[in-house]
Amino acid sequence: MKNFNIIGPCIYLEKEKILVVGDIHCGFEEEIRRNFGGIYIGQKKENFKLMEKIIEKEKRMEKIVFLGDITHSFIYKKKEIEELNEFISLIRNKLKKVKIFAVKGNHDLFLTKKNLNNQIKLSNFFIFNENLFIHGEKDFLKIYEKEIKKSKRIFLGHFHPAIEIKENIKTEKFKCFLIGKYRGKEFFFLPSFFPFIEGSDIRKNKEIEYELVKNFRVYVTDEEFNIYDFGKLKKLEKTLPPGIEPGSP
Amino acid sequence: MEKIEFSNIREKNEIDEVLDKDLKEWFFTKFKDYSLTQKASVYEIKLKNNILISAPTGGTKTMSAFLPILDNLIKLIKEKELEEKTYVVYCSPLKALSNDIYFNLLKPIEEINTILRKKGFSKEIKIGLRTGDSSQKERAKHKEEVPNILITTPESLTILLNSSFKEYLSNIEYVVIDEIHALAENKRGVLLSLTLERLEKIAKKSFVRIGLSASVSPIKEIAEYLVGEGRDCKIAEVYLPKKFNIEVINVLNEEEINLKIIEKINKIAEENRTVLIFTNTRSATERLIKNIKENFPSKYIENIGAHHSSLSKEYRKNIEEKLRNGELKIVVSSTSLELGIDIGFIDVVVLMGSPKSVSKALQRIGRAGHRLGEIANGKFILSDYDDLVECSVIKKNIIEKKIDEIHIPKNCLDVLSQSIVGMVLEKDYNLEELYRIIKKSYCYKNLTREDFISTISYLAGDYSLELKNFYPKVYYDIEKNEIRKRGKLLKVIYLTNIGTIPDESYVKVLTKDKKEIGKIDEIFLDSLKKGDVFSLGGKSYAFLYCRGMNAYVSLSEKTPNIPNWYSEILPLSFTTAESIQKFRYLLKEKIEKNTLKEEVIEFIRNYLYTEEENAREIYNYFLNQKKVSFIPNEKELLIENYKGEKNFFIFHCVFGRRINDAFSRLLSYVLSLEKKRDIEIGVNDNGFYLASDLLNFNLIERVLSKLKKEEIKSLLEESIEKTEILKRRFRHCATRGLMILRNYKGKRKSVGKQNMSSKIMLNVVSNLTKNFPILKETRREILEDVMDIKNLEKIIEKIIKEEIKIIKKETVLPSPFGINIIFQGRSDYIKVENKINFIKRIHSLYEKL
Repeated sequence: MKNFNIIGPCIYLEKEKILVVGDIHCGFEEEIRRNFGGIYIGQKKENFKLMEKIIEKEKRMEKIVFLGDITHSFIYKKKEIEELNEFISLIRNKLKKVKIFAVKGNHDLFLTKKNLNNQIKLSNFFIFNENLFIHGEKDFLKIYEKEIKKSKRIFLGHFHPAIEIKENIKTEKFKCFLIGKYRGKEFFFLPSFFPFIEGSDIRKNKEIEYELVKNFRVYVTDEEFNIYDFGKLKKLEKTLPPGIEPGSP
Repeated sequence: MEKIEFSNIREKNEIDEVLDKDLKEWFFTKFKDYSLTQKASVYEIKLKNNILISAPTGGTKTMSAFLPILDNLIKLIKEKELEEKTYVVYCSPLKALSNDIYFNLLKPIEEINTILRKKGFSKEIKIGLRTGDSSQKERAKHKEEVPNILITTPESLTILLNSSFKEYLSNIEYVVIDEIHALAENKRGVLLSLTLERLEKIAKKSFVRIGLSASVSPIKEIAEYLVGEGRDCKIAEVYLPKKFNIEVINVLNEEEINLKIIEKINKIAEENRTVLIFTNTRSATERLIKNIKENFPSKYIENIGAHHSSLSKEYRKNIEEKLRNGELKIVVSSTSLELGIDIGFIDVVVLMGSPKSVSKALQRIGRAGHRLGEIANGKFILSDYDDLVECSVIKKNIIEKKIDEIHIPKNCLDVLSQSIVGMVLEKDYNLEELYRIIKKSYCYKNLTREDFISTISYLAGDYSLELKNFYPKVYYDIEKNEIRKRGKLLKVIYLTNIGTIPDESYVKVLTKDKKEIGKIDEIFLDSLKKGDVFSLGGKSYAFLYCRGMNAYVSLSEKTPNIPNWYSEILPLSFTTAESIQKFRYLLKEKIEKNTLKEEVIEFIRNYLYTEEENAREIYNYFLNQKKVSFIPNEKELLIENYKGEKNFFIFHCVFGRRINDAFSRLLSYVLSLEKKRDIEIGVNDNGFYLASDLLNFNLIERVLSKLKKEEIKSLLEESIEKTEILKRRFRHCATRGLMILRNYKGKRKSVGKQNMSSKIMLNVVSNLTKNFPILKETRREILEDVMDIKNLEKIIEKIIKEEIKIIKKETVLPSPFGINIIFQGRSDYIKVENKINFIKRIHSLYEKL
């Protein structure tokens, strides 16, 4: 069954040669700076570095699909679009022929083909070979009912899933994938792509129905691109060694 | 070198000679004679000497300062020299206190003005109040009718220096700092010390500084803090004619301790008119009121109230009003009623649990019988053996006038950054001149040039190679060696972000008709579901819904939960801690010499000035400790190994939490470096524990023997590297240093957002350089202000020199002294293992199962 690879925060589909990328939130840093009169944190650089590392690992990709929220602000910001376009050209420099697709996320209200210099194909969803790519807004099961019916696998961003692991009194949070079957379809919840922020613990995230994901497997990834399979979410509590538990919600 | 010396007590006629006759006329219609405090200070102030007046509450301190000041203003009126300017600034740490002083001075000044009018002088003395609560209208009024005496707070005074009111401050002659001890020990005081130096620059001639303080130690240092570098200061220290009657009540052997406590309180309330109870936390305040009401439902309804800082201003004012009118039987407070707000007559003060220091105890008990000469009745009610020993020792120290030393923060680079921005907004500064002015403040007299320059480069935005990393706030002109302001927004940013008290994550609590009740912690709010009932101000409210940073509630009859606010219990003062260690030593000697039981009890009674019942409890407590383990003391540090649910190593050392926190982190850091794993720690005032399966006595001893005094600082700095405390304190320092703006373009940033950006900035800054001034300040604040590295170094030196011996014991159960350390210790861990190794290890454990 397994014809996908987890590479860092992304998923690579071997057969289709598609790289699936979670939320990148270009301009997040700009927002922080603007709001706080603070400092530059180098998000752009970190995004670039991470992408380079992924391309290094997987050069055969032919398509890249962004799962939405590629920009951060809800309003039009020139700088943000510039940053995004820079990011895209970096990818183009490395992979000349790659086709880039982006699902429109709830943050991407002002993205148009035009301001993206026609470098990216934009849409509310994409389907390639029975693989459905959507952003993952609240009622996605209803909104994309028709599309989900037609597909076997569904890929979503938006939720920034993470899991807290607790050992005695120490708690650490890790980005994670949630992958599993629901009503006969295979769902892939991707963690956010952009560094700095892990996301929120799945069990604390009020946007995800626990019922939907409780039988999904939890895969934690780290900066070195290691993958740790922690089994099914609902079993996690029972199967961890004594003294260790997933951080209590 | 400046001279700090004690003032002489003057005779009545000496003071009579220097004061204006009309002022005297007024004074003697009110008072029979000058008070002792006035005899020690009025003459000195007339001589234009700086002075620190230290006297207990009710010691006529305010009038001591204002007599010579009013005298001077009257003289100016009579000589027709009084201008429309401010001559006197009075500054107190609390808005409420400034309010009180203002209203208390209104009447005397009116009376004096009447006398002057009768004598044919047309000018009168004007007084004004300006705090964060003053309206725009009131502020504008001050420019038309300039107050000769301005009553304010440190923050409002600082803001004035950048306002158009500044020009009215050039004639300033006196600055009075009230409750100076409460300011000096935190960063508000640091800001004030710089503000005073800035005021010196505005004043035509140097002004007289008058500090008013409760009993403090070291008094000379407070005097130095008051005047800064290179200025002389007199000290008028007036000892307590105030009598204390202190009783230590324990309910240790009672069943149903909580009920017994309530019954005791009820009995005290029945015997007195008004009882003021202090608890150590806001949660405890709420819990106590809930318990009293539940046990005496018909007796205490409207005549009991809570007063703490999480209640709204209106709510608190209402309680204060009721107190003054004698409508309350019982009022329960955490800290908010400690300082001198006028609350009318209190018969007796009850302290629940230890106040942790002699000065706190004095301040709290001093609220009873406010006038001098009256006896202040104080009662400790205790339900814990460690508290019993602690409070008995505090009582002894009160009687023997052994006051704890306060700690004044020094070289704080965050407050410095803020003040420099304020200064360059006033005018352009030559770098050397700026440095000179700053070094006049006591808090910065040892500021190194390196730290000064590093702060300037942070503000100028050219820190390290990544030039564009910061929003520059000042412009540094290398050629002219000059610093100038930069950016149009700077003034607004500065004025809306001034201050040193960090935001905590509070949510306002309002009723549906928008009446504000108080605030609760964001984290507590997270745990609330619709309909959940919690207690605030002693009343129960049901949670309805949340809008933004407001939580809406309605009154409820159901049993409430008690909200938690962020930990706020003060650490045990080092002076008191040392006294406990010494007492432990003396008692151990007595017990080990096989002295007769009754003789030992007699010794405890005499030594601690305590009741026989308490002496017996203390004796039994120590005897049990000896039977099970060993009595640790000032010369012997006991380490107990107890294998319970974890492998505990309990260190018995009453050094206070500030030192134990540092000590435990230091040890566990060095130990975890050896083992490459995190070690859990738990800390309280009486000791700490380390817990890990990897620990054993040999390892601990080896590590202890290898400690070097010179390495302590750098090891501690490394140990706090990735901790929560560093993250939180970095946010505080970054907001003070204007790196994170709480207010920006008219918007207030939630603590959540502040946290997020501070976390990110901390990452960036840590990668940039270790010596970034705001980060350096964060580490300094943790090591010196939160913890107490100076005294830790002394203790470790004693361990190295074997002046403190290490005693090892293995116990089957935790010993009596150790129980609280295990169960009440605030736990944390030292992070050595990085995230990747952590998840690798956990995952491999997981796979093995």
